[in-house]
Amino acid sequence: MRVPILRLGRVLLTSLPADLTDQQVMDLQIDALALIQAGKADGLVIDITAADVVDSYMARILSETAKMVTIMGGVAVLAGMQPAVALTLVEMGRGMIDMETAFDLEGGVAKVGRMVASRGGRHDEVPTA
Amino acid sequence: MHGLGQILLQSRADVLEAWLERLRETVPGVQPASLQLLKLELGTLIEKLTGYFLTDDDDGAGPAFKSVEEQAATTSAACARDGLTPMETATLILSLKAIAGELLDRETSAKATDLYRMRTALDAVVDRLALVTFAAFVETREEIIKRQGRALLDLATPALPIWRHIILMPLVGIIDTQRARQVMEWLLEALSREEARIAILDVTGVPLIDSRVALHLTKTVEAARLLGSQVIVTGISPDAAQTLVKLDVDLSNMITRGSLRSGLAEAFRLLGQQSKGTTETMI
Repeated sequence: MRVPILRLGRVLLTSLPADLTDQQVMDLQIDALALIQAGKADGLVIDITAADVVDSYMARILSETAKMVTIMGGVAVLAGMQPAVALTLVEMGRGMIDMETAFDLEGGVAKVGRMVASRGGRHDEVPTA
Repeated sequence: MHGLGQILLQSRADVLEAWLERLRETVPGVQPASLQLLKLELGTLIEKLTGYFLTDDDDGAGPAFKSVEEQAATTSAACARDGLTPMETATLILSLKAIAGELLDRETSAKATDLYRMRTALDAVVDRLALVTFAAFVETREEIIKRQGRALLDLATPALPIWRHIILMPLVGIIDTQRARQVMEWLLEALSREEARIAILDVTGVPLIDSRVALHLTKTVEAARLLGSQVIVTGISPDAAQTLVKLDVDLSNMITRGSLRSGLAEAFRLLGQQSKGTTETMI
């Protein structure tokens, strides 16, 4: 089963389930990039509140997804990491998660808003002088 | 060694008095309160010793000798708690030899061979007790050190919610690997519990900040970042700044401020920046 991606205005929202498989993350990456390419969104918020474990593979895929989204002109934010997960990731090494982070979904959307604003505004709007 | 037991039984009080006199000589600065306590302990030790000699339990493995050993261990533990050095404690126990020797010298009723045998037996017992005492002393010291270590680790590291979205964590004392881990855990828990966006880590009370502490701090900052929070490290002293720069420690990805006051100002500035971007702009 593919992880659903919701669209709220110009932001894509997705919440990773606890029992996420590697294949599901790959599918998620493809789906999100396709939506951004279609010009439907400027940002992506990946919520990992449910995840108790994030291994190095998952961390890399997430970081890579963020970089890919950036290359395609969007912004990506990871939201809702559990303290225990953060602790483990830091113990595993520095820079395991190389992307923007936020406390929760709301914070993530707000951060996307700030990043898009600092980049120069939404892609579906004519920039105002 | 029944005879020795009899002699000890008769002059118990004298022996105890002489022993305390020795204690005052070897440890001039002994507190009156601990002297009282030690008097009690030594008195019991003499009693047990007398009991041992009276039971004729010569092989030194019976219950009577066990109880002497136990009492010696308790006495030694009391010495360790009262701050006597190992040297003083051992000297105290070994001085029993001299005291009992004088006692036996005064004893004229017994035959010379008996006296000699008594003295050898006593020496053997006291030597054994000195060893027991030393082992017990070290054990007590280790126990004290362990307890102090635990107390230091438990030294409160509170995370205080000082403003909406801001928590303050003052660090006091030496930061080693174990403590750093605990600080990190508590900080992350507090960030998540209070839904804080900014944590101020005040290191004014940390006496030494070297590259290892800096590494722990960077890890904490990184972990907080994963939660979507920012950490401001405050209270870095000029000394610490000099050390860190000389050690070539890179702190560029860490927000650092000299005082808690300027750290708080920075926190408010960051919060103001964050509240500018709202969810509505994107919907």
